Formats: sequence, C-alpha cells, structure tokens
Amino acid sequence: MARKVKPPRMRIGKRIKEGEVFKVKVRFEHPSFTGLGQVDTESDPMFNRAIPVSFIRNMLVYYGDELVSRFSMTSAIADNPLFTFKLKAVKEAPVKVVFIDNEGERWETTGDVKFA
Amino acid sequence: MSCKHFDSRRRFLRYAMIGGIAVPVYSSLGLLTTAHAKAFNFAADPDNLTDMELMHLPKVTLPPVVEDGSQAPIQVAMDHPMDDDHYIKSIQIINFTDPVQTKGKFYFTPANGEAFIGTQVRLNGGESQVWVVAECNQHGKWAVSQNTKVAAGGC
Repeated sequence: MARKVKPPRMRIGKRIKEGEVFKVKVRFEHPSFTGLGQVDTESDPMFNRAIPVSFIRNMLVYYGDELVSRFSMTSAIADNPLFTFKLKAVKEAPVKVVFIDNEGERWETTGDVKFA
Repeated sequence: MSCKHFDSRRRFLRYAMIGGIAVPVYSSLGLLTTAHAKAFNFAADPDNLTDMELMHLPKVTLPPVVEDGSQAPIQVAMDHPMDDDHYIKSIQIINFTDPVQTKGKFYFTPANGEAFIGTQVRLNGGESQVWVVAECNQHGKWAVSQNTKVAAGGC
C-alpha cells in the first residue's frame, strides 16, 4: 500500500508568558494501520496479518536542547494524528518534535517559544 | 533410560502434582489477585475521592459513543504537580479487548509543567473499556477506566 506522508506541522500559542504552561499541537499526516484483517466476521473476532503494518513508533519533544518528552506508540494510533501536549515556558527557545516511524524514517518540525 | 534420569522424571511428576494442587488453592485464596492489584492503585470510592486519588487519578475525556473506531479522540489530563522530585513519569492508554491492546505510552518530565496528552487512537467495534494508567515517580501506578461504544471498528 502506497504511503502518503506529509511533513509534520506544529502550532504554538503566540502570547506565552514566562513561567506559564502552554499547549503545543502537532499534526502529522502519516498513515497508520495495524495490518490486521478480520478472518471471520460472524464468530468471535479473529485477526490475521493482512497487509504490512505501518505506524509512528516514537515522538520525541525537545525544548531547547533538552529532551522533555518521549511518546512511544503502537499501530493502534490513528491515521494522521493530532498530538496535543503541554510545556512550561521557562526560556525562549525552539521546540522541536521528531517523529520516527516503524521503518526508521524520521521527520521533524520546529516552533519558537517567544514571550509576549 | 538411566536410573538417575528416571529419578528426576519421578521428582518432576511429584512437583508437578504438588504444583497442580497448590496453584489453584493459592489462586482461590485471592493471593494472586491481591499481588497483582498491589501493582496498581484504583479509586476506593469513585464518588468520594481522597486528595491523593484526586491528584493521581488521570482525568480521561473519551466520547461515550465513537462513530469511527479508527479515529477515537482521547484526552488525558492530570492535576498532579510536576516538581523535580515529584512528578508524573508516564501515561499509558490500553484497551484489553482490542487486537492491539496498548495504544501508546507517553513519558513526561518536570519540564512539561503539566502531564497532558491529547491524541486519536484505534478501537475495535462494540463495547470498549479503555484503561489509562498514570505513573507517579513517588506513588506508583494509578489506573482508571472509561467505557465507550464503538459503532464502526477501526482495528
């Protein structure tokens, strides 16, 4: 199955005050499928491997040079997920999010934290 | 067959027989379940939460009915401090009835300021009980569950 992947996009609020906790949203258009197919729909659900699995395995969040979060995921994450998480505004520095999928491919997106 | 080998086989059967009696007795006393339950903390009385429970139990937002199981939105928030010596280490999302049970494990540090995650997961069709486990670096793992009904399975 052809994979349609678009580079991730990040959204950070523009009016961030020093010391406050702010939200970061990251959208990554990456297909995700378990690769499982239902063998028999009438009995108890039975699954087998129908197609190759594809998913975002890791998401790493850096604030400045520091790794602040690591999200470890499985094929049960949705297609094209939108991740929302929070950070504490302690410095004006870039926020970098790195995605690594199950095939080891890597994408990243960056946003700047600037105090209002 | 050597005498020594025969002896060890006999010993194995004796141990297997003792084990066959001991394990069901041990389980029926509830010792296994108690040991497992001690790994996780739950709300003793969900209508009357203690301060400790309010702080450590994750607040899960999941719609009661999910139309599309391949895009089930879930949001987990915590009212827990994120101090250097006392913080939420991780949040894990699990559904034991799905073919892929663990959805993800999200690791945090005090630099997050707040343990919060919003994402979309795949859920199998039908009734689902989604478990969220939060791990505090001082007070262990805390689990809550949320029921939802999935119209079209997404696995």
